Amino acid sequence: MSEFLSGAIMMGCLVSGLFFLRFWKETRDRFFAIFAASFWVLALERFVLQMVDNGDDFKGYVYLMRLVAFALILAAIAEKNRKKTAL
Amino acid sequence: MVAGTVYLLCAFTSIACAIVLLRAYSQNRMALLLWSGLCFVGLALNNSMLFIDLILLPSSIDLSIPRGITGLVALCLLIYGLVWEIK
Amino acid sequence: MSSNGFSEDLKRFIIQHIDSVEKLEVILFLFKHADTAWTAAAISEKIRTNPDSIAYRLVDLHRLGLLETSSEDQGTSYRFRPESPNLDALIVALAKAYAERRVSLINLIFSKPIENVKGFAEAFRLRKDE
Repeated sequence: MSEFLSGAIMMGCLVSGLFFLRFWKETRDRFFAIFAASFWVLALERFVLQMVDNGDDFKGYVYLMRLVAFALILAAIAEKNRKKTAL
Repeated sequence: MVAGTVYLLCAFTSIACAIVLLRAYSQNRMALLLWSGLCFVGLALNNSMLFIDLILLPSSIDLSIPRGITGLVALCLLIYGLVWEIK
Repeated sequence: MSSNGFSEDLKRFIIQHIDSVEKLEVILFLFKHADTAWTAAAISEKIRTNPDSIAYRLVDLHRLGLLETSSEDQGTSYRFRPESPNLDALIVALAKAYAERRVSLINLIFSKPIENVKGFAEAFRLRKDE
């Protein structure tokens, strides 16, 4: 069951990333490219986690990918705010 | 204890993402912001449960299925928003 | 959130219900000439926009509880008659805002959430305006 859920989550991340890729193509805004990359990293993490089955320690390293993904999203948002407002 | 730190950081960063998204939604009521905000609330929950499950709770209790469900629901919400709310 | 002089109620009303400058002009026109009932055609002579779109706005405004209608030979006519004193106060405030802070008001109308991809990215410009 949990493998099924993992696979479904991977697909969800893949598809979401694909949407953001499309938005990037449409707007040429790097913000969306970063979002796309982030979701694909999440998808990849699911895949890697499925493939390796070593000890808990190694799993911790795999979850680093997840951390990277969230950090990317925060970075994208931070960048949006740095090029300051006042349009 | 690397694993524990990683899980904790995952929880924090995903919570931060959720907060930022919901704040953006409160300022600018776009539908897509709501769906992605809810997605990250789900991911924040998922990652918090990750830390709780793998670090705090004894190994006799396994939260992997509830975790999987929160993750899947979170992504379904995002995909719903991406499919229907983009004009 | 700074409200640039508008009350929260007024701001919410504008964001939720006033989606165009034309609608703003129509309701304020009817408010100013509340002694008469007007058809879309008659209003368009004064405001100088398309009578069809004015008719569309009138239906909307009527649905909001701001106008009363009556059918005449020239067609449906509308008169300013708010359903509640709250609504009345809102339109009074709206008229005041139009007179005193027109630019802010128009900005507010156009600051409605943009339902497209660019808007999503723009929405992350979290204005730290405290």
